[in-house]
Amino acid sequence: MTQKDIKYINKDFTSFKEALVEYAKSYFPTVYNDFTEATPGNMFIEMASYVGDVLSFYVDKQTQENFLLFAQDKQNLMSMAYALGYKPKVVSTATVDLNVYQQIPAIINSSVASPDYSYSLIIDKEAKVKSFTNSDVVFVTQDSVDFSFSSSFDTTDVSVFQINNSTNQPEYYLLKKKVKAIAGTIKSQDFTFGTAIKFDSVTLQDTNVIQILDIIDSDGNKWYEVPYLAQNTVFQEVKNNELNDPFLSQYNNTTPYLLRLKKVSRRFVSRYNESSQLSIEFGSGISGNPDEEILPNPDNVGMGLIDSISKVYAAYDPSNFIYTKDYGLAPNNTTLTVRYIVGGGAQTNVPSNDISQVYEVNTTTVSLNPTTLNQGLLGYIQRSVSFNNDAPSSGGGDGDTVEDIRLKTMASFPTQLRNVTKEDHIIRALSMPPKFGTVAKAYITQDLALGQTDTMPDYIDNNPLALSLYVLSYDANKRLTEASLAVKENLKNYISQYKIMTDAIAIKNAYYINIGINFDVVVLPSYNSREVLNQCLNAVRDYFNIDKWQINQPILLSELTNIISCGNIKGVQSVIKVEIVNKYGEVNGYSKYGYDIKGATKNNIIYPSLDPSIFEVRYPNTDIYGRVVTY
Amino acid sequence: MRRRIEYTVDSSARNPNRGLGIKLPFNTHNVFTINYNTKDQVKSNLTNYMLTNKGERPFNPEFGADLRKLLFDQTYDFTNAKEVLLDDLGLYFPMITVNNLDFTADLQRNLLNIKLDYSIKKDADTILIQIT
Repeated sequence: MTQKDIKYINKDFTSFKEALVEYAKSYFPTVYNDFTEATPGNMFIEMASYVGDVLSFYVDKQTQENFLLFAQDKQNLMSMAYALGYKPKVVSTATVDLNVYQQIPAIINSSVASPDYSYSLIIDKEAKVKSFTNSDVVFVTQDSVDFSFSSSFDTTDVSVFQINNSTNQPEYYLLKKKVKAIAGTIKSQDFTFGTAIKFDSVTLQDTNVIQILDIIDSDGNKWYEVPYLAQNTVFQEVKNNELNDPFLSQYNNTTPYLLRLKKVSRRFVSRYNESSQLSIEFGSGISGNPDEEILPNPDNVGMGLIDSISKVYAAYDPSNFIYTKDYGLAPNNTTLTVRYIVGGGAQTNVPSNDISQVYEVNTTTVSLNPTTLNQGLLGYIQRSVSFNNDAPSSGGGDGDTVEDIRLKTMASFPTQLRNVTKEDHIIRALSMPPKFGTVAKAYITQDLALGQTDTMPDYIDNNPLALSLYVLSYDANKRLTEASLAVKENLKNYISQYKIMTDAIAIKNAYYINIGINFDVVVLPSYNSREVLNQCLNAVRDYFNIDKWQINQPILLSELTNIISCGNIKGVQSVIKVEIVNKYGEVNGYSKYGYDIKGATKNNIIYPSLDPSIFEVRYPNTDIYGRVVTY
Repeated sequence: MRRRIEYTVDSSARNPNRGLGIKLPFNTHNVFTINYNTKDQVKSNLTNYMLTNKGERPFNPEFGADLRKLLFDQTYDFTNAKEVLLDDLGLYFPMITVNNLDFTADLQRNLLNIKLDYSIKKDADTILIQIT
């Protein structure tokens, strides 16, 4: 594919020579007639053909370099990659899932010990941990670690660490969480700017920059990285507490962070140049006035054109309005401090149980008033923080090759960071980071398609063509539950960046239908009935594993029968009965919605309701009931 | 042995108003002078061939007598060079008959004299080209 030669004008030495010979024959028949190889005239024709061939080669080459599929020059491919939304890598660094541990004291209530979570810590992101075998390799955590929070996607494992010999009660517990980390060294470089220059750019001195962490100017303002300068908003995570949102803070046990969109005028884009150095480009805004005052409007357009006969005939330069902050501010009379991570390479791939040397860790306590805590104990707790890696780090190596850039760009291009199709919306909703709340299941449709007209006025304009995004969350035990308002608020902010402007999307709760399964099987005489039944139960549990189910997925009774039949489980002679029963009632821990299973069964298929719903076996250990029967 | 399509003397050569090709050497006033008969044109072509080294012509690296390198050969035996040249002349100039080809080294003056005595087929005249 990449070896294909493009002949844009299809001219080479031979064809040029033939054309020139024909030209001479046509236009100079009385002057020139000797076209043998040895003639001096032929020499000049061949020289002209050679020049044409070389020029044609460059035309062909330049044309070839315009196509992503055929370009060979790395810098050209990188430019195309940036234009199509892929950011090439000049170096690859290893990533790893780190285990993070802290001890926490026990608190005794009514003779029962439990962890005292007021001593739980928050470990700031960018904690640095060194490899044991190669102390030059430092891993930097990518997220903060909040030991007080636990969800099905971000669990906090609790185990007893130390027992008090006198009381025989736990004295310390061990909390364990996971966090992603990448290998690299944090560096910084200062850039001083004088008078503002439109689309100014600076280049970092290092050649193995992995990513920019942040840019702060001398006034303390933060500059934000955006994929392209026209994007003027960035996501910002804020702690979900009463201070930030008095209403949604009630859901902070499942949604520890709120997702906010922040409009930023101080922003930049970064691009690797041909020397593999990272260049940072800023916007063109040079005015200190607020945006609104210089946006084009009938009052200010043409202002000052007193010598014009009429505004109708005046010529306007639309690029004047680029002086607004639409592409971000250009830094002026300030010094920017750029912090970035460098490193990478194959040496960052280290073995398991190797990343354990704590190098630099900043912690804060969850408690809003840490002075009330025992300071000596708090110091001990802070020193108890440790790290380890279960699996080797991987991914370190060289940067993207020419073929890597080509293939990754082609893979990146169709995503486009836009929600257009139904699948786009579902995948985007499911991809929301868990710390903003868990979206476990998602389904999108038009309510008109369901014959519904009721909409949630809180989330949608009165738009009959609006889409409804039905979602469900998991609780701490990974059972389906309705998404809280905090999750919906975060989801609304999240998808607002990706949805098409004219799309109206209502975020609603989907319904979950809890079911139980009763089945009877006959076991062959030579098999142990208990073992065979256990295999059948495990097969049914696996079949109804909630990870495998999606909203509006029907239950195929024949398929369910088949998985516990003799073809799949040895020892089963025949399946006598497979029955699905509805389980409901919040007092029993089930869904509040009942469902007529019998009425929804047609041709051995149990259909979900017209309202988007999902079947769930809520308690697999008790809701799946199997018997071995005999004839 | 490579053979080329037999060349015949162009009848247009008898028409003094019809040019055949460019004459060597180039004229200092007009640069390009036109040959109007086959004899002159073949002579120009032979001169051009003799003065061209192999590899000089783009996309035609075998073209040329490659005489310059003989100057630096540590030998006075030009038998092999003569055979190669005669063979190439048969390939590129099938219209001529070589009557005599003579290589003479002038050691005192560091010169190599080449005399080519030939005639054009279907023409009785004998022509001599001398290259030093």
